[in-house]
Amino acid sequence: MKIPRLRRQNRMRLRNQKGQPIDYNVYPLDIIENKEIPLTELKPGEEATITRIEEKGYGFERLRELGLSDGAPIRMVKYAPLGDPLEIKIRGFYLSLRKALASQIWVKRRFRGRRFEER
Amino acid sequence: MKNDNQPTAIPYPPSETPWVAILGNPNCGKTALFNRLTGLHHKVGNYPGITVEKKSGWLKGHKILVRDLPGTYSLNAKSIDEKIVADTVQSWRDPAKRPRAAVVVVDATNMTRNIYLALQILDWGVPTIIVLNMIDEVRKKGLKINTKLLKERLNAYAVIPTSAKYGEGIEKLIQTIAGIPDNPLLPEVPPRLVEIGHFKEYIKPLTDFLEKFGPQLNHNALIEALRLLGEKSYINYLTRYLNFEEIGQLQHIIKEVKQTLIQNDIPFHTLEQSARYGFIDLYLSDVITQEDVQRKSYSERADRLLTHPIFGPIGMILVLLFIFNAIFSWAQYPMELIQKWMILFSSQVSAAIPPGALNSLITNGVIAGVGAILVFFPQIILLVFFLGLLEDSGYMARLAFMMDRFLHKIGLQGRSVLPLLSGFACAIPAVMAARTINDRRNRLVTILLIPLMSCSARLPVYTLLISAFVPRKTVLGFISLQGLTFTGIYFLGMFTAIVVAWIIKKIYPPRTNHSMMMELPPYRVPILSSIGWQIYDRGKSFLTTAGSIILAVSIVLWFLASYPKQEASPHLSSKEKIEQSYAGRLGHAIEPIIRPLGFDWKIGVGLITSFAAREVIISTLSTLYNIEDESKAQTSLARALHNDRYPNGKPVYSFLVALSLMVFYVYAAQCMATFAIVKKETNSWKWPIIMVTYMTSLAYVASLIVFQSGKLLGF
Repeated sequence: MKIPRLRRQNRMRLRNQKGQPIDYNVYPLDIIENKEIPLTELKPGEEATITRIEEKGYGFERLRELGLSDGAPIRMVKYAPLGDPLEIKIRGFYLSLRKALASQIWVKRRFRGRRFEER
Repeated sequence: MKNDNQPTAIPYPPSETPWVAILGNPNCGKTALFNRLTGLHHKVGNYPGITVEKKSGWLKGHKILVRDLPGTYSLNAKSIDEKIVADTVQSWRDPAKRPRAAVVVVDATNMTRNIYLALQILDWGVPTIIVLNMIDEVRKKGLKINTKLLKERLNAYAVIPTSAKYGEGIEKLIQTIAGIPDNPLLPEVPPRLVEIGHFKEYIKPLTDFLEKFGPQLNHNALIEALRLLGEKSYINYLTRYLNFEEIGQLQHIIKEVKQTLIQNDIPFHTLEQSARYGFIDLYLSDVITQEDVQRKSYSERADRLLTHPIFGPIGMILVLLFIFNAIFSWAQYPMELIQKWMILFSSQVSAAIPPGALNSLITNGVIAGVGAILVFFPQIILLVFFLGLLEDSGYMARLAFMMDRFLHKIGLQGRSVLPLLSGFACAIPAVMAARTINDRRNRLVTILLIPLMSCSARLPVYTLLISAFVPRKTVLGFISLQGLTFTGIYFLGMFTAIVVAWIIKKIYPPRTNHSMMMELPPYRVPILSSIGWQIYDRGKSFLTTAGSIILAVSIVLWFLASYPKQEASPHLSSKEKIEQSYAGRLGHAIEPIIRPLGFDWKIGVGLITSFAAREVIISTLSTLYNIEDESKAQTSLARALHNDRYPNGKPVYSFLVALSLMVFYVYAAQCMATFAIVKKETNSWKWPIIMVTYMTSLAYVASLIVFQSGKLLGF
């Protein structure tokens, strides 16, 4: 099987328990971290899987309507120049959210082991 | 399974004119498609929520009415324009109000999210046509959509791929709409959702209760139940169909069902959403296949630069500066041309008509008034063109993205950027665009701030005063002083808006921490014809609404300035004549009040008349000056202003007076049309009155400060 090249930032972050870099040719699987973190802790370019959305305040229903379902893959695209709204990619489109709402979204970080289709 | 299925084939009497509804997410190309279907052209925006008005037109070649509904992500309305859609769909309970068909426009490049609304519409049991718009982009992206499978899975009336941009598939869509029989027999299908954790069992009391009112409600009981659970205000829609007692029972049942769901650990708030996306993921994932994988979209790569922490804001400022510089310098040539024509026209008319009251009315009242406005038409066209480019290209959404933090600080949200920036073209569409702001408080504040943005109607005033009184010098070798003053005046309005917003935030703080949820649409090449129509619409409305007011005021003014005629004393000079006219008396009456601002009675007359619309001061002044110099040919207004002297020989206008007047115009709420639109949009007299009061006092105080401090500094 031909293993495609990985994006550098994800490749660098993937290490085994001893802290040594993982050889993808041997171990080309995706890794989903076990730790649940709020979306706002993701750095630009990092990917994650939605685990839950806190049902409080205003806006969580719309998030669900826009396709932020549990288990949906999500990518942090960037933060706005002034740091507040952030941009995510979800189900093939780009969405801007304020941090206040984004911190209600809980995710598990995902590292790509191999490339697969993204929509 | 009968109780699950909605009797979709209810024979309904065809309403007098058959109509179809066009629905869809924001940015799905719905308005462009509407233009294609009707042949009428309307605005096609790339900014979420540009369609704020309900538009309708006749389907090309058929007697079927097409209604364009505002863009919405779901029938669970979060803003006013979304509520328009939700309410329209709710009215479909009445068989007579059902459309012949619902056309759901889907952005085919982004199917999963767009299909959510389609599922909600499909379950209303109206013949639903799914339009896969932007099919050209789909091909370019290497996606393949199995339309036959999609139609089967959704049980839609038809699925038609189109491209509103290139006109592909439009003919087929028109024929499909026209070909729908009066009473189509739709197959009975279960609602398009999946069951999560056996919720159907738990909400059975609710569905059973709603089932009893099946014929009245005319909508699937299961979906109705889910909506009742998810949306607190949804019960209001049912009050028309159930009596007071039944509503009470319903509320009780909802409470109980919620209890059961909580006990069983099912999140009832978003049950419908989860159930729908379950359906989408389960049945529609194999409808789309992707051939080649592109990791990062073109737009995202472009955004690396355009919303970059440093280059993004720099680019934004450059874009705005370029636009304002362009409208000031590019418009010069056509403006001068129009001015020349008007003078020529006026003198010819003057020669053709025998001298007297009619001659005076036409040359000094009508032609002078309209001419002064026509001169500034090129600038308005340019500004509308640039705003159209920003909206349709998708850059406007990035502006909102970059500016949100900033606007959030002053109690607004990024979405306010569009109405506020549109305020630079004209406050009237801008106030209407504020409908997209889904929070009432933010919407009101935005509306109050819009008139502080220097609209195109103020351009004539600024242009006149700057070209007349700011020297044609350059600063640092390449920036013209005139352009700098112009930019400064624009920024003054913006800066004040920030201060006012901050003050409002202190007095009237936002109640909740509202979240700006906004789609960043992909960058698209704007459809030039659509911008052309935008310019046409705005230009036309400027000429008709502004123009008619201006013409009327011009004639009234001519009357005020020419009467009462001093027939008895023919030895009076023209200057004395005007001073003794009604207008002169009015101007003199307010002169003591405006004297500290550096204004004379003629400006006073202009200030009074320009309450109709700001640009009226130009025609007022030109009427006033033309009548004064009846002996001479019509000189350009700027020259006339320069030459005007007080009796003691001191010039009436100086750089300082011009500045004071411009500052006054930045702040004063001198626009009847804005007043009217604010009244209409807020549905109360309170807000327009507040607006005029605060802005007029602001204008007076600011001008006072400018003039008096300028005088102290020795200008």
